[in-house]
Amino acid sequence: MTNPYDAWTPDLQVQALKRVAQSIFVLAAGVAVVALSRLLNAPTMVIVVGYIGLAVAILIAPIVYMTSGLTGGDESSGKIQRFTDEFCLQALAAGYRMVSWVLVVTSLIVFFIADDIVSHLLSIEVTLTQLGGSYVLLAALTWAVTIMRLLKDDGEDALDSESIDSRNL
Amino acid sequence: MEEAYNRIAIERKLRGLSQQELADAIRVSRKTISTIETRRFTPSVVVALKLAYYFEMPVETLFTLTKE
Repeated sequence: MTNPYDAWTPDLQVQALKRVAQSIFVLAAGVAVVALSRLLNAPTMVIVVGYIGLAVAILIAPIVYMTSGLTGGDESSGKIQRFTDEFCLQALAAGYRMVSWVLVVTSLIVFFIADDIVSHLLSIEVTLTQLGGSYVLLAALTWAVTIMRLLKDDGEDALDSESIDSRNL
Repeated sequence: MEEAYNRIAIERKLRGLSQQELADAIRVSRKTISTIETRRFTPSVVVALKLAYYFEMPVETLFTLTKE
């Protein structure tokens, strides 16, 4: 079916979700690389390269986000579009579910063994802000990777009839 | 958790439709159809009913809890 009015169609929503996930991943990964290299006292060269990567990420992420179609459309100028497609809603739910699992498991690890790890293995001091920031980064990366994994493959969907039939019958 | 089996791929192919054509007909994305067919997602009641109406068959024929 053609889309002469550039409407917010279900297939466009899937593309938009992919681009949003990519933009969040690029930004979160850029910040994470710089934060890790500074936290672990990496060589200056690594930190400089990290900052260059972060600058590129800050430049690219909004461009990818703006091309998703989420911020524009024929019906709602200046209004953010909402996802209504079944697959997008299921993917978003899967993303949030994975984030909650990862954060709960991370919190348990931090609660039980982080003190031992930091005092015995590492000579670094982690502030509350850094800890909070790492949670935000972890949540963003987890969400983006989960969504990208669900969206990754068009080839995988083109299963031949035998494999679909064998799974259904 | 119990899984739902479905005959969507079979019924679609019997009618000579592509995933995109079926998706357009019931106003969902092609990805929705492909993930339902491969049982990666179980559809909502609304989408299940749309598919059943489109194929003109009872929803319990299209979706079952046991393998046929």
